[in-house]
Amino acid sequence: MKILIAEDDTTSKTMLEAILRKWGHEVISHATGMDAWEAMQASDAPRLLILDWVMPGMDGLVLCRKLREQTRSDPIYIIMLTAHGERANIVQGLDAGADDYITKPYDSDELRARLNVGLRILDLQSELAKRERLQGVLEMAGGVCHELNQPLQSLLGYADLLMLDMAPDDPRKDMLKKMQKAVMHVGDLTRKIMGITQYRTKDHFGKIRRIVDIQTAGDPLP
Amino acid sequence: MTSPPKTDTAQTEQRVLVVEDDPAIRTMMQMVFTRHHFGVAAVGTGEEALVALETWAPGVIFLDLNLPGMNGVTLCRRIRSVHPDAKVYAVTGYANASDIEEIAAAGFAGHFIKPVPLKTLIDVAHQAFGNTPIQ
Repeated sequence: MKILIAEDDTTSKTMLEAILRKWGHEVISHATGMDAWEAMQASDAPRLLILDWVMPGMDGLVLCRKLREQTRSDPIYIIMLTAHGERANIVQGLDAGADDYITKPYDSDELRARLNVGLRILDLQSELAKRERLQGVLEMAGGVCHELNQPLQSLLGYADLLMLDMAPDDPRKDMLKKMQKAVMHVGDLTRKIMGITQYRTKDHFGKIRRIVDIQTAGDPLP
Repeated sequence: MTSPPKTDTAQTEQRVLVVEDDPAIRTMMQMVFTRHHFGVAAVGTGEEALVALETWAPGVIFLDLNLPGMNGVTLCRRIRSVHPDAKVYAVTGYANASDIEEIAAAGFAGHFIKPVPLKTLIDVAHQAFGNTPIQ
């Protein structure tokens, strides 16, 4: 997991970086609130942040508030890590938008356990966002399929009616049957779209972009 | 709405009611079933269907589920309470898994997702009336 650290004290920062890297995380650290704020504007910004309270310029509390005021496509998890250990400070930090609060000096086991809580919550939020997107796709798909299937039914039925008036060897019958086959082909596609239960994409135009794979997105979940 | 046919053969004819809000499909279904010698009435809403059923008892009913006003599932329940012997089939443009459960629970004899070949519906009607299968 990519983790952002905002900490002005070089010793604390170096120690924290070493611990997080040892646990397998990618670490991006900044010594001021403003640098951290700017880093968080990138599209691939970290989603887990450890912020010191006291920093020159923009402090951790202000940074926390500013981040919470922003609309973000991916939710973030903020841990305040600070020497301010009074209950009033903790309340203030959480009220500013921190998800968790650890006081210095910290125990590394506690830090690891609290980081894991953050990772679990981020995973849950990602899963929820994915489900919301899927729900949107399903609702749109249902509406589109209904609107498509109505005219398909008309085409199919009126072709049948035309054929009833034709002699058995009328060559136009074959054309109408081909039209009906095309209608049923589109009908098979709408049925597959209605059966979509998961996101499954495939390459479209090489790898320039990806599209929903209608043929397999309705398969049973693995 | 097309009024139920009033003919001398009313007691012997095999009657099919079509409830479909799309006028093009409604007309087409009526023409197809008429060509296959069924007595057909075709209406656009559930409310019209209930009025028709007061004086005209079909053996087979095809219901679109997505109707204006009363939906097809509610209509099926109402029909089943007054005409328990009629076979009611759902013909719908869209159905997800929970819709299909609801369709089964409402007492439909079967359901079809559009586009459905007319031959399938004609065969179903013949079977419901116990007619000899037509090749």
